[in-house]
Amino acid sequence: MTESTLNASIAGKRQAQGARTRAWRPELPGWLAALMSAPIGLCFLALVFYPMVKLVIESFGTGNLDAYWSAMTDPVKLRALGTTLWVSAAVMVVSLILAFVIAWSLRTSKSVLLRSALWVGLLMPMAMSAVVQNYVWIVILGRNGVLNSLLNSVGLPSIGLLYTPGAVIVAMVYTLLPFAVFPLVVTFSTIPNRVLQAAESLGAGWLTTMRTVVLPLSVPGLFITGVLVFVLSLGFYVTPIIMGGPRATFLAKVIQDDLMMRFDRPGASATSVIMMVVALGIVALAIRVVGRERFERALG
Amino acid sequence: MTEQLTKNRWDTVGQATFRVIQILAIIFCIAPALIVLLYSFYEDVFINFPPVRPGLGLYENLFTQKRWLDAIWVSFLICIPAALLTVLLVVPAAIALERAKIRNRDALEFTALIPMLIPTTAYAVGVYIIYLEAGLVGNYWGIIFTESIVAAPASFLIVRAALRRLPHNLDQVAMSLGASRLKALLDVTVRLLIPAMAVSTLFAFIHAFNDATFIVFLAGPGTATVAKTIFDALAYAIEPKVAALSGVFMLFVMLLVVVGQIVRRKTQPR
Repeated sequence: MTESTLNASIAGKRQAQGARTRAWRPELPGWLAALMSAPIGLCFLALVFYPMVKLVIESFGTGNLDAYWSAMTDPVKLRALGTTLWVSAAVMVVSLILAFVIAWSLRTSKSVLLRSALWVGLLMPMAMSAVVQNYVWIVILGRNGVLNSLLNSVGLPSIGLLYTPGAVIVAMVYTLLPFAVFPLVVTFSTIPNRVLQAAESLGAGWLTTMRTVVLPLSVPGLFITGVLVFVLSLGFYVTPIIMGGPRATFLAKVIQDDLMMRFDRPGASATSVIMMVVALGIVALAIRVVGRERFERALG
Repeated sequence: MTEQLTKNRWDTVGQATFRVIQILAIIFCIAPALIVLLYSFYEDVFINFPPVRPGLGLYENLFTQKRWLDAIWVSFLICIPAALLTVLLVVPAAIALERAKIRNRDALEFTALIPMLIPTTAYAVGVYIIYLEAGLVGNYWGIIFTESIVAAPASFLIVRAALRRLPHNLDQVAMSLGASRLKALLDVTVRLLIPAMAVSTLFAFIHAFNDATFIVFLAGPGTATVAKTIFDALAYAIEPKVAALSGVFMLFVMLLVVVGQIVRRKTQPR
């Protein structure tokens, strides 16, 4: 504010002195700003808001609530909603535990080897497309895969994990782990060393420090990260289809079948709308609880 | 000294648990990538562990079979324009949002992040239905525009962070020294944003290259990127050939990610 008034007063003085300068404002003029953001604004209208509106319109396609009625009563669709919700919740919990440990190790560990191993490990999922990641998990979890071979070699029986919700959870956690770690790294960086030293000097052991100092201070960060992971896993398409196998009941699978096999656009749209409402509802709730700025910071 | 006195059994148990999870996490992150690379150097038809027939046959297939060559070509044909378009759309808008007096700046900035928060499946279905009615399924420009809007929020966050780190009034200095508004914008602000623009082009490219969801819906039968070809191979039959591809493309994208991170670190000191 002071800056702009200063600029304005300088400009004013110059004009008063008759210097040959134009009067100018430090901010971009409104029309220029509008012009600069018009292209992406139009794209957002056409490719973000219109699709959302279109889904809602399409879900009432036959002029009634049939599609929603079927989504709420069809046992397959209900089961798919249930599976998708609990799998997302499981992904959230597992990701939070792993991300907490990784982020805290990055914050406190002095070992260069450990830190680089963790960073490289986080870059790996980012470098692999979801389809490639799923391929690897098929290789690992398959009947004659890596995991079962290792189990057998130490005399344990094989486990049939592939094409179960468990396999979907493992693969999703792998994809989402970097997204869970980065916001927590930011959260932990706001806990000053002095606080930890104070706890230790007052006689708190490792567990007490974690439980009474670190955990309470990182509750907002954990909450936002959890919400983000949960919402992102709700929308997964590729992973439930590939890792869940042909008989899996996930919302993604129900939508795919409705759209590509039964050509039931109202049905697919209604399921999509339900998915969208759940996700955006949770985001809105989270923003109410922790504030928009904190939430945005978790995104990047 | 105090540590010795107060350290009880539970601390040891807690720290041991922490250590175990730490090691599991590292194995969990790194092992899959190593396994991809390992399998890409074998020619086994069935997925067994350990693999038994070493050879470079898969890599040979990759660079001789028309299906994969076409897929690589289509991927670049879509992802390079999409990445450039993302930056072209995002940068002016980000500058406008940061540097103009706008009443609802917060709301607008949050709007820019929405594509990140809509569940991907629902979003893809919405775009698919629109494209279906407009006859755009399988249309390259249709795919390019969607991919670039989907990558826009991440790109916006990168560019905005860079803008906020720029000394605030450099363009004002330029203008007070007689530069026109346009010259100040292009020669000062945009030029200083070049590293951020490079990083965000790179990430938009990676995003589009790795995307399988939107492409599966929007590509139609005739158009197959690398990710869609792998998806089809996995959803309908398990082809070991995919492993070779995974190896090559993981290394390729890994390289891009590392370059991106280095540019980001070098140019945006915290």
